[in-house]
Order: sequence, then structure tokens, then C-alpha cells
Amino acid sequence: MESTWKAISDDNRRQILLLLKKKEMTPTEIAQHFKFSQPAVSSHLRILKSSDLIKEKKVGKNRIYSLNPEKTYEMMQFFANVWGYNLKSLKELLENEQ
Amino acid sequence: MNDLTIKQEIIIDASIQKVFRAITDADQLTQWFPDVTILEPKEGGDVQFTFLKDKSDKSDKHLHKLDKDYHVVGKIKKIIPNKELSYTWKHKDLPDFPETIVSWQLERLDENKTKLILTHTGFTNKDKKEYDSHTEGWSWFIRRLQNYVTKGDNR
Repeated sequence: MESTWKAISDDNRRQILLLLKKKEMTPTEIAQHFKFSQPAVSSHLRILKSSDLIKEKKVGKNRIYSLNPEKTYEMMQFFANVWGYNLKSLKELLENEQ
Repeated sequence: MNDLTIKQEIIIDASIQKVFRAITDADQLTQWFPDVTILEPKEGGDVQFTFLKDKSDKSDKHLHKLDKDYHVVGKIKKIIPNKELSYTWKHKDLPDFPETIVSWQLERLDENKTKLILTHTGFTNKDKKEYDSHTEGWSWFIRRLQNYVTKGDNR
């Protein structure tokens, strides 16, 4: 499994995470937002998936990617710790968002 | 045909270095400007901004609602650290959108005060609609930039 911190060390991979924040997407849809090729997108997605930052599901022939909130939340917890904050549980956080 | 130019000025209570970073660093740009950003900070470098239509309604009154996703593409024309940045600005999905240029000029007023002048040129009378929507858009985003840089708040 890839380290999450290594996975987000790449500028483009951070932008992919931001792209997925509002909706799940196929690799083709993701590639449209960037200048890189489909294989490059696939390679970024593979790394993000292996670090658990995104989830993959298969619908027919398509693979669809979405954010994994639990993993991104873990990263937030790290920085909360650095700042000396105590974050609410993810469940509470998501409920408050609604 | 008369050219239409958008020109907006704002004084920001932050150092010129801080403001320059906020307009050139992709991670910082996504805090107040597009949702997804590619910006290669060198002359001829690529610029790609994605503004996503907001699907979630998070009761954020400050959110600027978009009717659809917008994709802006461009190339950096000029980049002088802590002084100036300009790039071409074209909407990928609006074929009639003119070739326009966005330029950011920074002037140091004192250590923690920076004057920012934004100009967007290239619109003509026939682009009045785009000109108006961009004028409105820029005043919105410039206020967000000011809040982001001074308060770390992107509202």
C-alpha cells in the first residue's frame, strides 16, 4: 500500500482529489480537466487508490472514482494534532455538514 | 469597435510576497479561486482552471453559484516574482469567447500592505455579456483573495 503522504506529494494528484470533491468521475472525465494523457491519469489514479485516498467501483465497463472521506479525514487529524486541536469524529463532522 | 477593459484595484493588508504566492501557487489558488488548478509558473507555462458547478448545497450563502462547470485555459505571458503575472484567458467550452488577457500587478505600499491591480483586456462591444459577467466575477474573487490572504478565510 502506497503512503498517503507520498500520494499527495504530487501537484497533479492533489488537483485530482479536488476535482473529485464534488462528484465521482470516470478516468476519461478526469483527463478532460488536465492536460495529461489517459495513461498518466490512470497512473495517478492507481497511486491514489493504492493509498486509499480514493475509491473505485465498476459500473459496466467503466471504472468510477470517488474520494474516500475516511482517509482524507485521517490526514486532517494529523494536522489537528499538530495544531493541538481535538477534531470531532468523522461521523459528527459529516452530519454537521448537512 | 470599442475595447472593453476590466480594471479593479484593491489594497490588501499583507506582504507582496504573500499576495504573489496566493495568485501563483496552485494549491493556494484552489483556496479562493478555481476548484482545480494547473499553473506552471514560467513564461509559456500552461494555465488550466476548472470552476465546478456546485452540487452540494451546503447552505453557504457566500458561495458563488455556477450553472455549470467552467474550464478556462491559457498560457503565461509574463511572470515577474512579487511584481507581475499575466496570462491568456479563454473559456474552453465557449467557442465565441474572445482571446483575452488577465494581468495582475502588485505594488508594495509597505511591508504588510500591497496594492493589487487586476486588468482583463480583450473584450469588445459584442462581448458585453461576458464582460459583465467577468466584471462581477472578478469583484467576487478579488474579495475572496483579500479574505484568504489576510484572514486565511476564503469566504
